Amino acid sequence: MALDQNLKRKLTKDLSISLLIYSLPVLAIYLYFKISNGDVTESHLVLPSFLEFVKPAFQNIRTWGLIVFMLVLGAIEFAAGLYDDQWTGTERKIDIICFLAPKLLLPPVIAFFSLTALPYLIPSLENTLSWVPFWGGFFLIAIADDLTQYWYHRLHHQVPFLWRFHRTHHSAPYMGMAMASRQNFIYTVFFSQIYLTATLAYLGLGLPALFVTVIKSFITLGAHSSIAWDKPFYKYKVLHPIAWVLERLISTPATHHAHHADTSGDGVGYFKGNFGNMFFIWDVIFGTGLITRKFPKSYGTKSYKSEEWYAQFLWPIFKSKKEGSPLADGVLALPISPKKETTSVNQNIYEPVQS
Amino acid sequence: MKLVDFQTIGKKIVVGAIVFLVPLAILGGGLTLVSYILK
Repeated sequence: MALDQNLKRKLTKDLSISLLIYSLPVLAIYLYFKISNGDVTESHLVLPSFLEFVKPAFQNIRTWGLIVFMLVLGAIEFAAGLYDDQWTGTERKIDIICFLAPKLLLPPVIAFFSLTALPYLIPSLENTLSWVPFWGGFFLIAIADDLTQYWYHRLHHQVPFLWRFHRTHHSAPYMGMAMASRQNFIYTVFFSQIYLTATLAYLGLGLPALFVTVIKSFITLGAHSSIAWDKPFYKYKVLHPIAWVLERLISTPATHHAHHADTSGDGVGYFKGNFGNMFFIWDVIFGTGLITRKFPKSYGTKSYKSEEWYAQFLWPIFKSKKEGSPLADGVLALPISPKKETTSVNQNIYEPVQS
Repeated sequence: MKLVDFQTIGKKIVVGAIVFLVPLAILGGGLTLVSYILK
């Protein structure tokens, strides 16, 4: 549906609150230096000694370990039969292409941005934030990266013309580790937060960025996986206090599976919210969260026509040939400000956004 | 690809750029200001 006045008002209010949240780590760093009389002309970006020994592990995880972890997790999911009979030829193709292509195509793009574009655009600013202490940089990158992704994600659900760039992520009728990378390529390549974190790394916060991105990758993978690691926290009463904190702080399989449900409003499925990626706290703050500790019965989107891999991965460059597909040629998103003559919506021409 | 597709991609890039630049301005600008005040 088009953006209505209430949604516009809510978006404006939440965006204003976000500007305050973005400034919190800056304020914390300022207070730290003010109270401790720290010197901002010196570099403070040294790793605490207790983290020094895990640094090589994090570096290896980021370069190749995460891919190995994803493959092992995928193998376990497959062996456990968690995809049932829904992992058909089309789905397999989309999952594998979406898993491999960004890993081959994104690194050169990011390398160009970090090693060529940024030194060209802002040559004098390299490492200018090295005076920020490690904990401050960690706090700052965690908020900056994940809140930015929250907004990028939320806008793709709530702004009609953006939805089909994100639809591929929601098209599968199952959950699994492959969902984390199952995206339209244009959605992935213009991910705002990867450029934000790359810029902050160029400015001197590379070390905290390494730790944040690795932790974030594990949390988002875990939230998409069909292995519900959070179930014991709901089952055993002694673990309930931990569950209460966990499900409000980070994305869990229960809350994120609800986001991938094909229904919203049945008390479990909630594709209208639960937009958080690493942190769920954004959904708590902005009132877009639903915590039920239950898992949806079915996943995906009602308008799914098992579109061809090329249409799902590369729309609108390639269109679907499937009849009635929202990714087919000539299908338009609903306009943001509908004119009077477009208020009578023909659902065959306009695809309603999933929000 | 038709003109409308290029427009859709263009609008999407603009949204992405805003979502990237606004936090960068707050964080980069804020830290520059902090550094200036504390010097």
